[in-house]
Amino acid sequence: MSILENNIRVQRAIKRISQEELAKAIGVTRQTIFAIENNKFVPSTELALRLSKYFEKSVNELFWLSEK
Amino acid sequence: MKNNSVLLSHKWNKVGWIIIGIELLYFAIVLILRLGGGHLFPFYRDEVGFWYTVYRIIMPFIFVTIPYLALMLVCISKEKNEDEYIQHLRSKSVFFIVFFLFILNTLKFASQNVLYALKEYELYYYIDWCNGYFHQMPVAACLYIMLFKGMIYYNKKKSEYTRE
Repeated sequence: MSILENNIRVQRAIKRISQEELAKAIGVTRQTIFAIENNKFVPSTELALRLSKYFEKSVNELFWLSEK
Repeated sequence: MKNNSVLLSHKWNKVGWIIIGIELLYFAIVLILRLGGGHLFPFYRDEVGFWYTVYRIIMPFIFVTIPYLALMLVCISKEKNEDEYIQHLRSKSVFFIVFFLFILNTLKFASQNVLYALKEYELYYYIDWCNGYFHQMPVAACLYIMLFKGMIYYNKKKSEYTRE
């Protein structure tokens, strides 16, 4: 079974921003960022594109499918 | 982020909670007066007259229609920051409540069949009475609100605990 993983936490650390700052920048709540980072919630295409735009990375670099 | 949900705006959520607060206060006053042997409206036993008619018309509104509407407002209005994760939790709550009521109904029928066969009629009707309460819309609405708000609260606390 494949699950969606991401490196939002890493990208956030590189940019040195908090969950709150990222949430504010892309227009969601901090709980949403927390849930995405912990693979508890799969974001919509729109939110994934917003994250990709914010981090200046492609969606594939932020999210990928891993076999488990 | 653009929100395409069909829910009412957050101000209706506030209105719903204010009405629920007033209703609870009213129920508390009525309960205290009734326990003391009195009544908020002394003309309730008159059975004739203008005030009794007003009482008979207004009471169902106060006790049934208004609380139903307030619960409905809370259920179908947005949270302050309604994003897609909150909507995800909302749909999860609705699913759990529908599933819970479905399971409850299935158990009711299964247990009642057994009780009827065993001629345990008292317990049979007691289960019917309890089940009837769970299938009232306000009870389902209250369960939904508790579950949904609980999920939001739990996630908020969990994310605050691991704040980064």
